[in-house]
Amino acid sequence: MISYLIFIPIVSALILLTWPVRHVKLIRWWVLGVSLAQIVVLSGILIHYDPHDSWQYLEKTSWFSLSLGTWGQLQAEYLVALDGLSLPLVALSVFILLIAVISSWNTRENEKGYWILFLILNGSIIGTFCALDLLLFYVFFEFMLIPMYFLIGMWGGPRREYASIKFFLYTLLGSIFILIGIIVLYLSYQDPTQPGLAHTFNIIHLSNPANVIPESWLDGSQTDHRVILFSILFIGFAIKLPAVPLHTWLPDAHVEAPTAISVVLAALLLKMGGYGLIRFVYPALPDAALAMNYTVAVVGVISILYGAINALASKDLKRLVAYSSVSHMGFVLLGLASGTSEGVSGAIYQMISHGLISAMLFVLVGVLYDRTHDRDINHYSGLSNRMKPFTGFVLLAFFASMGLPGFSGFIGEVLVFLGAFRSSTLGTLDAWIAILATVGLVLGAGYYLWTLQRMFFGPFSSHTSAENLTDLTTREYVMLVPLAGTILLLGILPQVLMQYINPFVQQFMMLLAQVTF
Amino acid sequence: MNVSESLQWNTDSLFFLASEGVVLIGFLLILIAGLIPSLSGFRFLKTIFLVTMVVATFTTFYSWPVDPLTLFGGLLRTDDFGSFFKIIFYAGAFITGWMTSPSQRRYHEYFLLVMAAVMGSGWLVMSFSLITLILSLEIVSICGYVLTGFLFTKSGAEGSLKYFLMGSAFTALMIYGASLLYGYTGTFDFSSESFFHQITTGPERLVLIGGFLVLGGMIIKIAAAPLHFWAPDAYEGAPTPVVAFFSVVPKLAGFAILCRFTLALHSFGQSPVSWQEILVGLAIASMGIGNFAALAQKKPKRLLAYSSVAQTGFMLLALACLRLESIHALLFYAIVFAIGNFLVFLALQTWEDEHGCTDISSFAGKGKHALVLSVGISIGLLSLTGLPPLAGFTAKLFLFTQVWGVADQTQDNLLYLAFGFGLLNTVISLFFYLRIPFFLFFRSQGSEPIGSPETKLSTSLLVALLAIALIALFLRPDALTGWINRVTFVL
Repeated sequence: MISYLIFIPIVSALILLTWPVRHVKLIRWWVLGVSLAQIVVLSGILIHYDPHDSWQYLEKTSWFSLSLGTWGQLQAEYLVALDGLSLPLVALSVFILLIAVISSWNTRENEKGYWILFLILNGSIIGTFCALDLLLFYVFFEFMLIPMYFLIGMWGGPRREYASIKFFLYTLLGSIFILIGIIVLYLSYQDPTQPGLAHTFNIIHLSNPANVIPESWLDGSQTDHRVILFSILFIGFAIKLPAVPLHTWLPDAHVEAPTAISVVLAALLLKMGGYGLIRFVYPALPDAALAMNYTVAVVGVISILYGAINALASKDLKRLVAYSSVSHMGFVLLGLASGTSEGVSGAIYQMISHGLISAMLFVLVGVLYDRTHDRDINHYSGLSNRMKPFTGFVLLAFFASMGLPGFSGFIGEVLVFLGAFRSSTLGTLDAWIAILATVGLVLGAGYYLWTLQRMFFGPFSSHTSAENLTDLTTREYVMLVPLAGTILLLGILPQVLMQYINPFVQQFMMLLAQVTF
Repeated sequence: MNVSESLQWNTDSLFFLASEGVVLIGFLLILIAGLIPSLSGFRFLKTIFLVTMVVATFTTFYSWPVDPLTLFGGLLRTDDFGSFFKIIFYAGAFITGWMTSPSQRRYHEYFLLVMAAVMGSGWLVMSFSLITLILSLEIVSICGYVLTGFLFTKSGAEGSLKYFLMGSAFTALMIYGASLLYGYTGTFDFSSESFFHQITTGPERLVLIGGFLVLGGMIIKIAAAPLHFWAPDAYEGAPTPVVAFFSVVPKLAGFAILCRFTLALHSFGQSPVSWQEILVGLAIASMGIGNFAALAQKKPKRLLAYSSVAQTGFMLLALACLRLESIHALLFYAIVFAIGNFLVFLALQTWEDEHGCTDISSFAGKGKHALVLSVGISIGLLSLTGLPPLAGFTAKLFLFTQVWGVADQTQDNLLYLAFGFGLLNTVISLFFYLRIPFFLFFRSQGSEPIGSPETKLSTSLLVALLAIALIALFLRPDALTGWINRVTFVL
């Protein structure tokens, strides 16, 4: 089942390569069909998914093996499965990618190339969230960069060349750190079914400290080695997350990318940083994670505050949303570092919720940009007088992003705070870290409310002619209504999502608790 | 051994040089046909060349040596390691011949020289004696010096002369080093017992100087830093097929003999000199210098010259591990590098011939017109960078796995450093490898509309084939590693 999700888009992309150019208009219908087909497959998965069971829909085929001489055998597998962490993210991906298809419906420039790259991106995103083989994960993770680079560089805004190369170099640097980590990890772990013979990329085996090869570089007694490796992997994923000070690629990439690509970037690609940390860095190196959690928390808080302060100072609406992403992803780190089940649940919940909210925010920025080609906050005033439904959606998205109760953002952030404060009573983190993070909330309310006041209220004025500022079209409603609905649903009935996350978090906490070294 | 026995040995040995025989026959055919005016047409000579290379490839497969066999009284030896490289050489020469355009001046001599260089490379990888080593290295080099100038332009002459001066100076030093080693060990055969014995017990300084000078002659052939200065000029001035040839065939031949000779010098770790440190140092220098210098290049060929210096660094790193498995990783890397490099040069050549592109900036906006070429060259460059889903990634993964493994086993800080430095270099290399795709796809063409000639179907097919090979080797590296793992004889 999962393979269908991954390979329907990739095979479609290959078929589209030979598509005759004179029928180029049909391509977007094809791509829409792919997304709808993915929704159908996903529904099938959701119906039969049992939240209380661990790995489901597991598919396993051997990929290649390589003799390493005296070190035994290196085995890579095509191994995909879903659990309470990956299923919500896959569902989010399928949903957001559908929104992105609708959002880029009017792309006319070099249409064929755009959709082919988009489909490749689609398949590799889902592959990243499903892969249970570390090498497979890395391949999908890195493969995303190539279509992303071209999508930003060819269909982006005025400074797209700079933004795309910066994005590619930064994230490749992160990937290289991860690759270093992967090589060291698999050479230090063995396959429990063939002890002494086979090294493994299998994330399930890597999550079990019993599989560390005695006397290897990561041997349990080598605490400093494990901390070094944790730091390397953490830097790699922090670039993707992004965490301050490794975030500088993000505002540029977001500002220059076309709307649909910004949506995908914010809603899905940023989640891979947090996903990687939760999926294998923490389980494989729990002791090092424990030793480093103070640093992780501080990085998280700095991201929260620094992102918020930058958002406050942004003049470009898209840049503001981009910095707010940096700020919100800081909560993921804080939740993880708290080491409590509330905090970790909050981190995962925040990832999903931010995926929806940031997608909605970027769609809304796109709505405005499509009409006026101007995103400068100071160029507008009193938009609510002319675009009432649009203003309504903006209000909803801003409030959700601020973390007001009733919206999904609230649940994630509250859980993270609960975790952070509890960990200060447990003595793992200091209380001031959690207190500082709450300042981030206040700043968040500040920049959103200020923007609302500047752009939407007061007397109407605009730097472009008012005729352009027409209200939402049907296509835009089709994107915004489901997003708003899901955000409200997850805010009012968190159980919808929690039923999947909870069993996973329980297992995750057990993994962390078995720090035996 | 008396004369008749020795004669008998030589006659028997001839049988094992079947593929060299094929190349020799092809060489003579071209030589003769070129002298007869009615037969000296470009198409005819090219056909002979291509057919020879195909036949030679199959002959090599057919006469694959099961066990290593010493020929000609210890001058040469056939083994699977050598045959493996010979297949790369013949395939490489085939693509070189394919790329050669009819506008090539003096194509008669040109084909002869390429063929001689291939033959020399084949002998080089079979050499087990310092004598044959130097002789075959010189065959390759002299053909190389001449071929570099085969555009008959000023920059070609400059590149050729630079290459010649540097090359011949280091050959002289190499011969001096070889005579030192010979004088001390009393044998030319560097796989013999007495060579081992003398090396391991010998005075450190003598072994160091002798070995180092001989290594220098090979290092200049593989264009590793700090002996890479000839490469950018030679690459810039030479005809594109020749550049493609240089960056693969003589380079890998140099690597093959470097593998054999360093393993002999290393003597399973008993040598008084730490050759591993020297190799790692060269590798780090090549990666760093190659990548950083490539950043500033404006011409595609100079860029690729520096890129090939950097790639040499990666391969040297694999060699520096000095284990059979790391040599397997090197072989995998070599094949993937050869495919990627030929892919890039094939596309470059087409653009140069059909669109007159000599600067990277002149590629602006070409991506929309020649899609197969543009996608093909991008795949080649991304594979050289080492990104999935291309074989370049798999090759780097295997290579760095070996480096880390050996570093961890020996607790060698220099290797740890090389491991991290090498991987981080990948990021730097991305920046310049992306320059050509960047101009192809992101920059729009200038105002003057240049007519875009249709790319020849045969070229498109070959580009597509090489690109698919890079993807296929990523998806199924087993297909190649299974074959490589059977290579067991290096020394």
